[in-house]
Amino acid sequence: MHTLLLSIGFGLVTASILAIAAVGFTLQFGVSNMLNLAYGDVMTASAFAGYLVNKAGAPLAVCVLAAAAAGAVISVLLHRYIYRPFVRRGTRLFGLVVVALSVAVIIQNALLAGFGATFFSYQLSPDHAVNFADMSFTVRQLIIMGIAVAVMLAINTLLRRSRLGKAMRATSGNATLARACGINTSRVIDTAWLIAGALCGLAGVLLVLNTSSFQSTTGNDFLVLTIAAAMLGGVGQAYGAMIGAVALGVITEVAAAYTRSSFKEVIAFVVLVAIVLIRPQGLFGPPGSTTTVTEKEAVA
Amino acid sequence: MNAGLQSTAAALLGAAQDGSSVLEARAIVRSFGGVNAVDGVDLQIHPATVTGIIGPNGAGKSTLLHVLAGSIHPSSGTVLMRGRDITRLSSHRRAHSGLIRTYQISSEFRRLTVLENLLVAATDQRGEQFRVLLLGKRWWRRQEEANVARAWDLLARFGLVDLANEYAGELSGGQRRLVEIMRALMAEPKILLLDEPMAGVNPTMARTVEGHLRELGQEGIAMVIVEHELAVLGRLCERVVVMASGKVIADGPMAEVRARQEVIDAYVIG
Amino acid sequence: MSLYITTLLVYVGVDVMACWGLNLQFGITGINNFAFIVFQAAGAYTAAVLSLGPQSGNGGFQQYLFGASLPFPIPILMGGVIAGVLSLLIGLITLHRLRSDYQAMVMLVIAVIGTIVVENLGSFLNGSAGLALIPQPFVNNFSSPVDYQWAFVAFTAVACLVVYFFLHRITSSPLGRALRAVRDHEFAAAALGKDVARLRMFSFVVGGVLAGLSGGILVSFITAWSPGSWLYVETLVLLTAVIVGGTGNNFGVMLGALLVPVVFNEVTRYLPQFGRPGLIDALQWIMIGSLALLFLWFRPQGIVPERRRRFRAPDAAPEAKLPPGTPAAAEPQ
Repeated sequence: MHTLLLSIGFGLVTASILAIAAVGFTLQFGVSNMLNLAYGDVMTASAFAGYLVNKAGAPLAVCVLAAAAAGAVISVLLHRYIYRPFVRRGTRLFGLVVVALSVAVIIQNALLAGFGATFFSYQLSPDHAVNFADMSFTVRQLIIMGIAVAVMLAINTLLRRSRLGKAMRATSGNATLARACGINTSRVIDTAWLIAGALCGLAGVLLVLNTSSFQSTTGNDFLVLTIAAAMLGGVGQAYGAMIGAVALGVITEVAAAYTRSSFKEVIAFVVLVAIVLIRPQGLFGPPGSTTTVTEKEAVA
Repeated sequence: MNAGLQSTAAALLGAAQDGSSVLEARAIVRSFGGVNAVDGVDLQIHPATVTGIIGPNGAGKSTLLHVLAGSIHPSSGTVLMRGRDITRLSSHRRAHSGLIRTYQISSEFRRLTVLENLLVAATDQRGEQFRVLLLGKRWWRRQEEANVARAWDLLARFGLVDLANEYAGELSGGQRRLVEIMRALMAEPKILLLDEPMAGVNPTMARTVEGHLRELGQEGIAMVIVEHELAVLGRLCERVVVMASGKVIADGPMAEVRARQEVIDAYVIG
Repeated sequence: MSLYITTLLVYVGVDVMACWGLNLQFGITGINNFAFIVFQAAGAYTAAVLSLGPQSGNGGFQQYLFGASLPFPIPILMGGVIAGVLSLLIGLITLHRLRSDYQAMVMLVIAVIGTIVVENLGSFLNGSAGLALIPQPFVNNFSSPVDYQWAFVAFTAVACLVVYFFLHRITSSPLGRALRAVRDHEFAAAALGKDVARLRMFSFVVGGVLAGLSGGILVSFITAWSPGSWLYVETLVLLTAVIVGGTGNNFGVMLGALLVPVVFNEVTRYLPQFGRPGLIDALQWIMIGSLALLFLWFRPQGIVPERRRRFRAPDAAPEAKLPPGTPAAAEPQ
């Protein structure tokens, strides 16, 4: 029982990070209709940005902001100078996936070349444990969960109440129609990538704060979980991503506690296969949205 | 074709001499996220007729066509071909049974030549079966030659012989539209569904396309044409079906339909 | 020296065969298979396990399932078979339910998970240590190792030739044309009666078999195989080779398979070691990724583009030697 509660506790922390990552991933997909396979590596790059700021002696909050900013900047650059030109030129979806994968490999290896193959960690002040009801969290973990909740609320307000949010939802649903209604879809898409990029960066830095050390492959390793969470919720559905993240975060930690911790990704994979077989559109995706019949081309 | 498809095709192409419909939509409803794009449509298409479907934007014409063609399943209702329920039949099986459709947006095979585009459309090619390939070229060469000859004939008929070895993706809009129609013909359709065949085609070419379509109509193929241009439909179709807001609001000869108040209203508002 | 050259040649042959398989899937049929390397690995492991003999035989220092000592060429052929079966299973799950980008994502995840599973299930295929000391096929027929190596090169070349003619038969036929149609516009292909799911599955399985055969041949020469040999990024190397060489054109792909993996791996051999360890490897990967992007942007059709199939117009004269519509001699694909 204690193991169960402990692992649920870990699961909640993982879920918090996963939620931020998955929502960012799904926002990019929703609005551009392409899978940014470089997402995990942008997370790593942002974590390294935070690391550099940390080495320069800045306080933790500044590092976190730096990472989020790095994520935003890199994502916007990627979108504007690599993905969008390919889309504008008419590259089909399967070509774009190769583009994304190439970018991912370049980023990951650039980090490897620049920083080396060792493990890195942030210099942090000591952490304290806090216990509630048989679950034990460190202060830092509580902060991570708090940030995740705050971010989810902010995204919710953005999507539901702001004009930008409505424009984003319209563009995700049907870009041509959105344009016909006078929405400047290019600008909406750019902004979506900026926000999603910031989430990506934030998730990256929180991820490395939660683990004791990280290397150039850390973000990419997390991508499997991110994709699974996004698919579980329904790719393109922000709320789905949040729920998918919580479910997956808890399931993988609990299962890993009872089997082997390196099996987390395997469990995520099993979940993914189950989704594909049973309900490919995820919990909240519109039925039929993942089949070839409704295949739309990417939007930029 | 395997035995299962053969018997399906035989059943469907068997003579329906009693004048019954060759293609029928019954109570078709198709919704997208709460909106009924098609809202209860009954439609019967008779053999050797040319039927036009017209209506303002958003009337549901294309969606109805997709449902008839099998690329989308209806939320409720049935589609019947010569009395047989094909609602759940995939589009490739419908094609085997003689139901061929064209697309509004160019759907040519860009990296194949025009002639190859036509050859793809030929039905029941033995050369497409792996076990036949293992046996060797002589088991499919004769059929291929016959198909190639038929393709050249089509090209000659449409005046595009010179373009035979050009990549389909490099042609002009109107030429691509013709390729699509030729391709549909190559598949020897019994029923041909055309989704806005004149869309994006310049007026001269449109007249050529129209002429070809008229010839086809005279050859006994049942045709359903979704179009915007009232005038074009008037010249081509004996019967016009008018849709608005997902429903059929008028169905009959053009002159009669045009004068109906509901139709005028739909066009003014929609 | 001769070992270096023969190893290089065997790698070239194996890469060419694998790239042809990938070309069938990606270049001709338009399927993204980011898990391609997993199928090559499956073939390699199968061939290894079927040559190593039962696990206790070697003193039990390696753990694996189903050991056997089957004679050449059965292990290699079984490698192809098992890879084909695996393709069938994975294809059934992903191919006809998902649109191409989801498929790509799931395949990528399969590739990532594949290495994790094998590394962690130690008793399945000896975990991260991998399998080693795999017996070489037909080695007893040769007195000197050099002769054996060259004989193996000849064997690889013959295998490639057989595969080439087999693929040519497919790509120059109506089946090849139907696959290309599916690549170019699958809805139009379906609307014309092509069973898109079945056609895709065909390419996927045949491509998988070729991947497995290539893995079997490779492992029989280098006699060792571990998860490090088949990281998911290796698929990108093969994919880049196909893109650079010419998608859809088997001759071009052969060129690509020669240039990309071989040149990249061998060029760095002659560079002085600079920077920290692993730096050169990282730079190699950056170059592969950049090469893929550059070609996709500036020359997506590759160095040797897909050949256009030309037909000769029918002669008007009745005494024409050729029957009307006879296709012009097909160029090699």
